[in-house]
Amino acid sequence: MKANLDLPSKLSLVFFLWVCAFTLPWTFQVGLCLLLVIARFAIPAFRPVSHRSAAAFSKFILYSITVALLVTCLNALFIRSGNVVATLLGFSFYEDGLLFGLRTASRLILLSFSVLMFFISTPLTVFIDYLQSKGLPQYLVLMLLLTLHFLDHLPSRIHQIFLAQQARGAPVDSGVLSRTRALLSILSPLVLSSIVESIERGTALELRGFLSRPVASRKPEDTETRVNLLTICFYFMSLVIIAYSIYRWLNV
Amino acid sequence: MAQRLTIKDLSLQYSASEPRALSSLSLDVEAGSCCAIIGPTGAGKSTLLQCLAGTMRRHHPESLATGQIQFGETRFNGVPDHVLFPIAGLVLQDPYVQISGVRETVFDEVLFTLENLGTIPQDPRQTILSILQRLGIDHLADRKPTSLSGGETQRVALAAILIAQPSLLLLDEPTTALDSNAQDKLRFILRSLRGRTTVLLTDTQIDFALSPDSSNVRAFKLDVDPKTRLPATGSWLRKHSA
Repeated sequence: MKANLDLPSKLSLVFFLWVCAFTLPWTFQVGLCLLLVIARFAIPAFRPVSHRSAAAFSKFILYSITVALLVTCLNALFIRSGNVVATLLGFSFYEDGLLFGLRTASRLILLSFSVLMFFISTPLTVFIDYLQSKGLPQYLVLMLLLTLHFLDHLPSRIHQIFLAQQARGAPVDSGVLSRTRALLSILSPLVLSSIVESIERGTALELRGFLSRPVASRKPEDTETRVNLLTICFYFMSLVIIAYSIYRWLNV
Repeated sequence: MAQRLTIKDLSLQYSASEPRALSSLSLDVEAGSCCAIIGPTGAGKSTLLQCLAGTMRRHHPESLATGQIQFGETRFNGVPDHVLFPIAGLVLQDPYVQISGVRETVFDEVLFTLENLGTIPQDPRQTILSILQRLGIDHLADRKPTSLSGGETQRVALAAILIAQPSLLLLDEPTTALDSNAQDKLRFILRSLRGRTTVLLTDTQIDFALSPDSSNVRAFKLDVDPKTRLPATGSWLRKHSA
């Protein structure tokens, strides 16, 4: 029995983190997020596969801090129950809203963080081969492949459109507001063109026999069936947490 | 083995309410020869290739087709209802969408086709490198497929289809992303396929198909009715290859 952090154990870790996101108190979730940040630098299996992935991770940390602050502040402002924690510029922030905001923000961040960690540290090739070797229907694999490809290339497409707009004199560089406005205007053509491209990419793969791919041709290392100790551990801990949550819920 | 392609009175509408995208098209391509379909945008060139590759019915199940397509001994009334790969291999116009994105090197990208077919030879390296060599891209074997230029990507896409040894090779505007040097290479490749593979390619310009270097290429022009802007039946520009 091996105990290294391979792809199945990373998937089980994502599952475990999702279970934690829905069951554990927000303080634990914040702790898990911090552990994930440390893991990204300390554990080789979590290192980003490319510079682009590393950049995406750094950006995500910045965005998630912004989102967490925004969600917490808005909830503290609009859920008016409990004590007033602070008053700033005439606006009062309430305790219950603040706690609810913290719970929501930490859950959101842990959910997205766990998925991001998986995808930045796992090459698409490896993930797709793994799914195929596990007998996932080819249609599903194709759909997943096209979706991941679309998401992977979305930032570069947006950047290209921004550059094109900039070349035409649009003021996309003059602040967050103009960038947001520019993004909104390109959203529908961006999504439409991406869908068209995804359809073409799907056709191209179909034209190379992807949908009729036989199981026998899948890579031999993918059919490896040895059980990973870490995978078992993560699933076991998830089950324990779920069972404990149900027990607590029944006894309230 | 190369086979004869015969298209007889092929008409197609994407749906009953739409005008014809192909109108009574008849075409005969000898086994192992190369035929260029030339015509303006909207003449139905890509539609024809999709019909021949077998993707039309799958992607447009509401499409209506009449006429016949015969490839070798196999005859289809209307259009085939399944993808004919590896009998027919279609290389799409946009080279970038043909890169799977799930393989790290050009070599593996080409091997990916064989994996899909489940026909990996004893020595795949030799087989793949010989294809890459024929296309003049063997030096790119270890490069990332997504980091290549348009022309290089086009040739990788072609290699990924040629490795399956299709009897009918369909190329949708293959010269779009190619410079004149790469076009010369494509002519050389088409010549090397002569007698082995029946090739049908489309182009908007007549330059490539009718240039002296492409004397082995027959040329068929698909017209668009100037009044209705709908496809009309085509005619031969060069019926015999040299």
